Amino acid sequence: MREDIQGLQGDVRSIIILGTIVFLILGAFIVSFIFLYRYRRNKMLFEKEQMETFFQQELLRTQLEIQEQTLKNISQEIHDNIGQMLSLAKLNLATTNIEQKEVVQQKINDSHHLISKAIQDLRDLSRSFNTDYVSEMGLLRSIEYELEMIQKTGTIKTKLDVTGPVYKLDPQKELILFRIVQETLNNVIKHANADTVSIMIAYNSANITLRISDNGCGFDLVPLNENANAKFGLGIRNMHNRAKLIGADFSISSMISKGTEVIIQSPKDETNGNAKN
Amino acid sequence: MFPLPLHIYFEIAAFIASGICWTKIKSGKFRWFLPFLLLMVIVELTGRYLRRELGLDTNAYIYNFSVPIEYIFYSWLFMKTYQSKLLQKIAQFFIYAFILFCLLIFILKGIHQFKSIILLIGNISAILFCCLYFYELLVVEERINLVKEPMFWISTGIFLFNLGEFLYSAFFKLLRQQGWDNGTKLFKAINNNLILVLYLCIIIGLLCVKTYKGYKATFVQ
Repeated sequence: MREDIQGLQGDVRSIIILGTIVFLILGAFIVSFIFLYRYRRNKMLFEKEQMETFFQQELLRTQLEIQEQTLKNISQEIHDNIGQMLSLAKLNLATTNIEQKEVVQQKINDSHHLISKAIQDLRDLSRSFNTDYVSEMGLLRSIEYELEMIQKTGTIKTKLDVTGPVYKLDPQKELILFRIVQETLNNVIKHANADTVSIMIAYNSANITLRISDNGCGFDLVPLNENANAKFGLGIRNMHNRAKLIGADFSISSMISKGTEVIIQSPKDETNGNAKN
Repeated sequence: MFPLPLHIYFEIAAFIASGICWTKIKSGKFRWFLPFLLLMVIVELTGRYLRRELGLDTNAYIYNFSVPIEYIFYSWLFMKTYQSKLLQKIAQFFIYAFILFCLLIFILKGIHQFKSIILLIGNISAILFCCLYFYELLVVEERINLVKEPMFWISTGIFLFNLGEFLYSAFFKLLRQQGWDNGTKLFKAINNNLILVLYLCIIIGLLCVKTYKGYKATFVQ
């Protein structure tokens, strides 16, 4: 009986000692797990914050570039178009001989026509002063407007094809897509020596595809894939990075003297934070 | 009475740490650590004095008061720390229920014998509150550096202390009734070492408390 009690006492003491050790190890494990989990989560949150900051910076830069481009267009339009028309109207009026009544009437009519055209062009331009027009008009209308402006120069013909039901994307995403399109069109004007540029926009339930092609001189893409030649195609790399930022695929193909094609495919519901790397 | 065991020096050190950090903690919930730790030191020294110097068989009634205060304080601390309203309500409810329970036990069973059930309930509640706090730490959507988080250290100390003491508390009555822990060697081995962990964590936690510096504006020309 006494031995039984002593045995029981030993058992209870062993249970307490071993149990306490097990509990403490378990406690230490739980605390360590929380510590490690939190460390990883902090790292993840930090990366997310950095990515969001980068996205916001990129967005701001995009807005500034669009503004800059818009102002350039306005300046060019005022100088090359409206300025010319008003100068012509002024010249018309200055050279009018009031004694020749028939000629006077003709010159007044011409000046009236020129000033009306200048007023109309100024109205069109004033719309461009609103630098938020991309978010207000939407991607499609902004691209249409950009093509209209190019068409007006008379040097390049433009064409726009839209397929599928049109929908709006996230405004920030539309802004970045528009900036890529704008940059591509600028490259066509500056370097392609093309007489036609066409844009095809295909909307479908999963994504939106923008295909910008020209019939210009084309260029060699090989240096783009050489890391050593980092300065070559900086604009294209920039466009590629921006596309990645909004989770879009960016590809470019070009053949010497046959033209260039840029394809951007952006998922419909991909938003900031889910951007691909 | 002297020399004092190591764990009492840790309790005194924690009290001194709360005094040193007073300017940092005085505006927040941690300010209550100063009176709390003072009380704990007084309880330990009084308990030791009664047993060692006056030769009293039991100093249980002191601990019968200090243990509920200790767990009410911890519960209040968690109540003030939780982000979730529900968890705050749970902690608040527990505090009232625990006070009521302790009063009932003292009225019905007296205070001259140590009431291990109070300690056991305190252990369980502290473990649960720590787990709930850890859960909140896991799900919170902001960056938290746990090394510099006072409540994490304090909770870790409370968690390990109560996990370690839980089994002894569960068997406390049996051990004392049967005289299987004469001289309370096992209790001292477990409790005194866990106190070192608890108060070390409290000291680290108090030293981690940051001073609120307010909004500082800089004018750049």
